[in-house]
Amino acid sequence: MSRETHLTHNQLCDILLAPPQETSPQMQHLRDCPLCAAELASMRQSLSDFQAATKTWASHTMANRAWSPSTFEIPVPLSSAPRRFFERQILWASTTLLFAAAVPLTLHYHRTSAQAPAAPTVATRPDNHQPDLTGDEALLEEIDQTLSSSIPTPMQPLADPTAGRSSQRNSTLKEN
Amino acid sequence: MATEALATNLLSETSPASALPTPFDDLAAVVDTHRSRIFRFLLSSLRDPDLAETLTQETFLRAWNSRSAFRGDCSVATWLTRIALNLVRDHTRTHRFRFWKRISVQAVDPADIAAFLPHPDALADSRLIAAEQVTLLWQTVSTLSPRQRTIFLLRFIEEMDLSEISSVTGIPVNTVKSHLYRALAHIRERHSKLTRKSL
Repeated sequence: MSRETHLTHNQLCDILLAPPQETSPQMQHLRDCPLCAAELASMRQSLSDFQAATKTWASHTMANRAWSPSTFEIPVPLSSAPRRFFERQILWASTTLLFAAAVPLTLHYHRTSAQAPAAPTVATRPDNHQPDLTGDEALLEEIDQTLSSSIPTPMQPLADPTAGRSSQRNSTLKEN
Repeated sequence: MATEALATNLLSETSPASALPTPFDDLAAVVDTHRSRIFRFLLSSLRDPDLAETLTQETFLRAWNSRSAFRGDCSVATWLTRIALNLVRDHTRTHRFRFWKRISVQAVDPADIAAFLPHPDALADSRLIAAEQVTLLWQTVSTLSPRQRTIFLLRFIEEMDLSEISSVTGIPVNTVKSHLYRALAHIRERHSKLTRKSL
């Protein structure tokens, strides 16, 4: 590597991140090129100062907070707030779902309960109301007998109300 | 509550995880060893001492709760840093608006950080220049993308090597390297601007 061509940014970074062997071309160039050497030294110094200042600041902050083992407490997890929020959301969602499911179920129950009594009465009557049924049958039989019995003579004209009219109509037609 | 008391309380809880021994069985020792480093990482990432303290405690609590998942594939430090980083991500994601609002209100003045430069015997001029550079770096780091910032802090504050950073962030080593190149390019650019201005 000649003195005219300088180290690239990546080459400088590589030296910063992990210094190569002394015999490497990059290190050879650094020895020969004051510009690259100055650039690298400046970066190293800045980063070193930054590290030192940050470390001292952190130590100072920690000491100022009197953060000794006696003040180390079990923390309330920070994530509890969003977790609580989501738990509430889930609770609301499940309540809504339950309600939404309960409404049609209730309606369905009411509808079936309105229809339901008809079936059990039919089903239970033969067992529970046997004497009533016998009475009903006797009544129906009596009605049948009454209907099938011969019509009394005074009521004969009522049995066929059109009988007299049709004979009259026939006689009228004959006259015409 | 003392750390020992915390450890005792947590250990008294019966859980199946306690059947297998883990480094977290001696929680007090783990806290003592790693607390300052975790706090520093969280502080430099979030720049809010209160939040950094809370998340440090949360880191150890989570480490304890999920200790059965620790298989020893990585060091305890790496594992704790991974938990801390996940907390930072969760926090900045779930509290995004509040977080940035809070940051803008409670942002640490870069000049305050520069005041912590340990140069007691240095000349006033060189101290001033160093303070200016630290201030600039602090400001520049805040303009990096969250991923670049995390990787930069892990490398140049926590002095982790690339494979460790890869393990903590779950990003391939080459990608970690690319992020560092970009972050350093950004810093160099601003650094050279400052140098030109001061000349």
